[in-house]
Amino acid sequence: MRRIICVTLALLFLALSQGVGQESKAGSAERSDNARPLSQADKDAVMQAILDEMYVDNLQPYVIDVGKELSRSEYQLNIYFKPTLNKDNAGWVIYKLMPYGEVYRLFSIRSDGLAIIYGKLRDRFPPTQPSYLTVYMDDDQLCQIKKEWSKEHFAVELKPSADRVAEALARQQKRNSP
Amino acid sequence: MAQNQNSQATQEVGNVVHNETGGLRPDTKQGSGSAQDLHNAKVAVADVVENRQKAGNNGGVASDKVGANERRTSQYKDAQQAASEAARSPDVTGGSIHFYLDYGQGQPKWAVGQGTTSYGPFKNAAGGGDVPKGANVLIVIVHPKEQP
Repeated sequence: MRRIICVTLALLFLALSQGVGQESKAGSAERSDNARPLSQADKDAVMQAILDEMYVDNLQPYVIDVGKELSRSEYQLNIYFKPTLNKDNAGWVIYKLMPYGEVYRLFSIRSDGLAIIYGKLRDRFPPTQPSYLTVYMDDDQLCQIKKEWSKEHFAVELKPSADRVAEALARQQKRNSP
Repeated sequence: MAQNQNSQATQEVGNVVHNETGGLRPDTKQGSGSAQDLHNAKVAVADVVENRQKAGNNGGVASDKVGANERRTSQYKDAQQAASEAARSPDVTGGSIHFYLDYGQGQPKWAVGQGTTSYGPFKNAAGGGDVPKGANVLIVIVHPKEQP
């Protein structure tokens, strides 16, 4: 009887210690990554950065092939946000950036609240870079990500006003300054 | 100067190497992450770009165009030197056709389950470009299927 109790206690201890081990392992991975949840303000800043890039580089006319028409002058695009930021305050989004394609794109949130989006249009988002076209991703993984990440929308003006473009340009210069 | 002596094809390979890695800086004096490690990584990347070109694929990597100001930088000269070394010496990658800069984005589809050789981590000291300022980045060469 005593032996049974000892064996039972030993098994219970083993099971508990393994459970605790797994939990602390996951916890330490999260801690080491310093992940924090993405806020609505972060999302808004990223969408602003995406629009600023479009307007400065005059990419908005291409949205007519992939966006939902809201009016003659405005189209809506879907955007998927990874729900956490890493220790560098960086995260990923997926959206359609024509004429390049759908892009898995790295961004970071600066201390002044501005979002910086990474990857150069010049390079067309090759799979060698942290930001790359989703055509290079595994199909199943992409579907899974789109199911799990937070889906939002943003509106693109086909003919943004001169003031809006000037604002975009000013912010882009601010983003490019050290 | 390596870029002046390089053939046009080698210079274009050096340009791609620069556009892929030009923002990265050594993070230590010796070993992984050192200036020598970064140079070795550039030679390996140049080999991969050459292997892709031999396979008829000139895409799927950064642009081969570099502006005049960039051409004066020490990073550009190092990239051209690396391309020159890669063109003159045996392929250090064993025929690899893929590489990527790892900032925790997850492995591209063609890297999953494959053997890899990593260089770094290196720092993105300049900021802007492809990763946040100060971020640590590995340069990962993906081994060909037949190589463990």
